Amino acid sequence: MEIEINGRKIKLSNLEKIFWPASGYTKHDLLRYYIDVSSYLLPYLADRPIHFQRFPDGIEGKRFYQINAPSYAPSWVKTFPVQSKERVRNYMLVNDLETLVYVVNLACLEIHPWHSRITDINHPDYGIVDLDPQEGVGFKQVAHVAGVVKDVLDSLGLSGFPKTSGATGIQIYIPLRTGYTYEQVRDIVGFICAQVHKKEPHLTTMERMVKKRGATVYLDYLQNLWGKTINAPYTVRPVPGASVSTPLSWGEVCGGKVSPADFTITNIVDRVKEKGDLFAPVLSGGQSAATILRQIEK
Amino acid sequence: MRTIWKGAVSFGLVSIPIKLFPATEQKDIKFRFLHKTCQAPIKYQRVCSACGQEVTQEDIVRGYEYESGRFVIMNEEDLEKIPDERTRTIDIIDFVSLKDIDPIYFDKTYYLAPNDAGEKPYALLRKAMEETDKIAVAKVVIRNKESLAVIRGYGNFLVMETMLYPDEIRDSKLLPGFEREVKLHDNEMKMARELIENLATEFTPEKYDDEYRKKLLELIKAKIEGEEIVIPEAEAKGKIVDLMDALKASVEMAKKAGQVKPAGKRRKKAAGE
Repeated sequence: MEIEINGRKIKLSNLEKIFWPASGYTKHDLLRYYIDVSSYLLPYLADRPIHFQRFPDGIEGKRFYQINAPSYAPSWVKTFPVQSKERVRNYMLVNDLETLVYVVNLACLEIHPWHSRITDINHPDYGIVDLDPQEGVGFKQVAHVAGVVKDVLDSLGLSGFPKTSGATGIQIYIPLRTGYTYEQVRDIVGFICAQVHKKEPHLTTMERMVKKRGATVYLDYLQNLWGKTINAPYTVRPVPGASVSTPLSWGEVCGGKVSPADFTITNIVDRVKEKGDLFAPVLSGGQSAATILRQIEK
Repeated sequence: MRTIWKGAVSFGLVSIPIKLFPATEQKDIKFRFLHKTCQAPIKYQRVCSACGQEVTQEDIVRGYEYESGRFVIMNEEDLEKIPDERTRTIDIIDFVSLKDIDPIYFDKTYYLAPNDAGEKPYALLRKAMEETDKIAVAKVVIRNKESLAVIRGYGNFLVMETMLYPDEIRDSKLLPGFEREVKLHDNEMKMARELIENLATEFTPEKYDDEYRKKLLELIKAKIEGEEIVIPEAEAKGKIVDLMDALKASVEMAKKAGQVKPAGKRRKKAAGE
């Protein structure tokens, strides 16, 4: 089965394979979703090195990471070499629909872009407060903590934009002006998390040892590092129901009426068409965190 | 039926001369490969990978690859050195109940027929197993492979099923998809039970046949008789076409909805600075 997109031919395989056994969604449904959502998703992937996780037999089968471009990738798939301490990795860049379809056909279900772009690889575009509920913590509590993050951001004069992780958490993106290093962004987000923890010391934790966290929401600011990645907005997660990482309005987060499982590959495209891309500000404008950096230095 | 092996079933002090016949056969339709232009069968030649010369049967020896590209030669004399007195006997070791053996162990089935003067002990073994409701576990060597086997009565005959050794059964723990515990509701179980009860019936093997083989044979027959062959559109194929059509339509929609703007151009001066 071959499909042609912008003059590039892509072989599609196993379209009828069931990827979500409980819901019956197939690989075709996955491809169809990514194609339909592509005009909203691609801006969050463009020019960023990407970590993929592949699920060739669906979400209950084996899974493995695809970081280097496969040797058999077509020559038109753009790549970008990144030198880390140990090795050079040849990342695939998903800048267009044809590359998106190519990687999704490889069953790259999880798509995790870097926080910085290849035009300025050492400087992230945003900081992320990753709210990771530990076992026994429901989404209501996560949403409550997200509201506290918003209060802290408001008091600092910053805007943040929440999205469901697609599984159990919420991630809040804080667009920053270019030029901050990864270490600075980690410190900025760490400062914000510390303030949140001060306001809700029992509901949240900044403890790095998983065992010591208890039934709290883990305020993870350590994802803001060079080479770390987080699943992009509008990407599907390997969980039953095929839920999608979905940008929310603060009204939805604080209203307590939504749950991550509400947003799946079957309804996101309609939602985005209706509400627009709530995450657009993340890409369109940076904010200065000079006041935070000054306070940290004190 | 052609005998494939002659020997004896040994059972305590009794030895039953028998002949062995395969009890099952594969009915797959075999195709031969032809050269497209000449329509003549393809001939295979054995060629040495080192000198490129064609090799005759006499010039072939067996080698065991103990590491990649390194072989130790095993010839007939070597194999004969392994002491084995059982090559001509099927040694009964134990008697067990058939229901204690999971069908996963069964490999191939052979008919046993009594050979010279073996009729009486043959009938004796069959009848005794029938009355005790037991089957025999035996060791047998056929064509250089030692197998575990069971011998049991089948109508008026004895059959032997060769079995796999436990280490030849793949570990079911390696099966993916069983990491999570599954909770079943009473209602779901009730529905499933009812479904099974509705379809429950006696097993009548004659009822089942190979639809694909039947259709393929019809097709071959028609072609021999020079009929024009119309291949009915398969259901599955139609579905795939639909999937592709759906994807193509999606691609068109996505293209219309707009491509990504190149990065860099999109990001103007940061707001608020």
